[in-house]
Amino acid sequence: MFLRLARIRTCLDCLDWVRTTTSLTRREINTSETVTENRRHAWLILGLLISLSSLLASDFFNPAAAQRRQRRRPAAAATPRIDYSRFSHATEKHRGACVTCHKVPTKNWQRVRDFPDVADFPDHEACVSCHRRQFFRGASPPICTVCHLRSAPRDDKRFAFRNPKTPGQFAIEFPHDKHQDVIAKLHRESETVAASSVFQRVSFSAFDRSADEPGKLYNSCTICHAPLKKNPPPPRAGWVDAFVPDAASFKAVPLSHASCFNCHWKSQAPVRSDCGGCHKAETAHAVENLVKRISMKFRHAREQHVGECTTCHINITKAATLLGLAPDVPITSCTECHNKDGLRLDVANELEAVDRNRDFVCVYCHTSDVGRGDPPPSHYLIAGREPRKRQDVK
Amino acid sequence: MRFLVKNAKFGNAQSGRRACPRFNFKLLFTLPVITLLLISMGGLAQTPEAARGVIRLRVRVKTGNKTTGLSRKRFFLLPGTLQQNKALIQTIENSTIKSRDCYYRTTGASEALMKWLREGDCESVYCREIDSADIEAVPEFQRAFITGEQELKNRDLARKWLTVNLPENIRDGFYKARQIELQKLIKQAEQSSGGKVLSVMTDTKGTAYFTELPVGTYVISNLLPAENGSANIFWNCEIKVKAGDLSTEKPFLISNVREGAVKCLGVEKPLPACDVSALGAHSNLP
Repeated sequence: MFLRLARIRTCLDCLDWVRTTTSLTRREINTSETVTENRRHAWLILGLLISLSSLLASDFFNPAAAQRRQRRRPAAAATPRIDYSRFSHATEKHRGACVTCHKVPTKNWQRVRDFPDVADFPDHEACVSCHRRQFFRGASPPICTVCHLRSAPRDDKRFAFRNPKTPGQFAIEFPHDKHQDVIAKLHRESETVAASSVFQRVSFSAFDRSADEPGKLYNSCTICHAPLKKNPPPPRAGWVDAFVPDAASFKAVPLSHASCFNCHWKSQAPVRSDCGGCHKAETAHAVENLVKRISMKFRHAREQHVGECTTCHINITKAATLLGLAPDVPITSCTECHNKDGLRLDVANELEAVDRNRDFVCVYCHTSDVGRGDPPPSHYLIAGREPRKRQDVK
Repeated sequence: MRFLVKNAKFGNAQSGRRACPRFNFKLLFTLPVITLLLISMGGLAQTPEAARGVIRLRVRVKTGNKTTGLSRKRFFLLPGTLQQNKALIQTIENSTIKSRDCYYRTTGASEALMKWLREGDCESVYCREIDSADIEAVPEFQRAFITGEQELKNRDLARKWLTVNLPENIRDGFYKARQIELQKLIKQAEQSSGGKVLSVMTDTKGTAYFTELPVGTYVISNLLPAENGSANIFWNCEIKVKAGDLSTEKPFLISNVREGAVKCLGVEKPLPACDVSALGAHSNLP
């Protein structure tokens, strides 16, 4: 800030110099154009005002300066009240080793799961060891509602673990690249097998069946990404165009340890007690980072679409993290069939429809939220045309 | 400065005072203001994106009389030309990394396990589901199954989770041994080129894509040899990436045999001799 003040001071000195210079010059040249002089002064003042405001603005938006300002502010006089009904893993004292509180597996796993798992909240002792005061406060201590449905001594019903209504506090770190290297090994298919049946093997079943050995089951992406069994719930704003995609449109994602513990139970790191190997508290959940479906009308389970996953998801084999995982299906994956002469020309037909009417909404693959936008250049290139914008259509 | 003093007029020489140029004040203040505004908005300014290109890689391998796509093999993209990566390529081609069979033989794996791996062209036990017949046939699986059953008290779970009770060298030792070699080569490549080494895996048809690549010259390499019968294949192929799009990019075909559209031929070498003198050191047999 001192530096900035010094710079402002320099500007003011500069103004004095300019004033002196202008007055001398005016005396010397003895001009009578007072209008010009007034304009010049107006420019001077305007220029200085803008300079000052720019300096102040740049200081205001400078993060370092913002931090300095923050430091100068006096600390809040009163300590904020802690809401003990909300549990956070981010609290300093809650950041110890996971096994301090969580047992892996929990005692109840055989009742609620078909594999050993963390299937319940930690025991009371995990909380009481530090929160004795909050635990025995009044008839219904708020701290109880972290795990229990009601805060009452005679009602010990607990939420399902983990409570689906509480927001997730961890992001999952999953390196697709490493897992592709070891599990997604595909048996070399026999050339005599029809392509459709090969596709059927790879993606429909939980495992890939070898054509040569029909009894053998080969691991592939589907051990984690099986077809969805139930129709997905509608988004908050409802389905766009009232188009309701069915379960066959999507693949499931692992929602439990079932897909992990079969290899990572012990020996193979990260093992069951090393929760931080996959659950990263540092990287917050960000819904906007989730992969978005652009072609809502695509159905994974459609017979012709049941191909090997990486044939279309071309970037997944290099993805070392789930963070920033981008939609990675290029239009060329679709146009192998959907824009072939003598087969189908779905892309070219819709581009021509846009040519005829710039308000045309592309509906073959997309719902209107996507379909009313400008078709991307890749779509034009695949149709053998120069990219253009809707606004250029007459 | 010429702009600033373009309207300069000099004072009367007879007045005896120093002549002073008449500045263009509009410019004198407008330019710094614009500069300051640009600096203060510097965080929002975006640099223009450099041109990007793609590689559509296709790998075909001839084994006996049959030519097929090389599926599920990882390929790497090294920045620079073949000449610039010469030292690394020599290291790759002189590599004597153990073949799959040799690795498992030296760890003392049973013939039944090696047969099970060969049947599915598997490099590790994670390759396919282990069924009841496999447990009966492979001694390593039997031992792991018994341990799992005692621990989990559930036969089906003990079968599904069988790999958790396998010894490390059988479970993923081959993969880890290759990873150690691979990481050394990647480190060497990144140190010599100063750039990041990218990698992708081929699909069933032997196709893989490198996307969002800065325009330039690269070497496509498998770094670790691909086993093909009794031979190892090494590919180190130079490619120039131009600005382009997946929609228009033609496949870059590489193979172990020279055919019509093949752009780069792999070097085939016989598998290195297997030294089984280490047998017993890591034996899993009782």
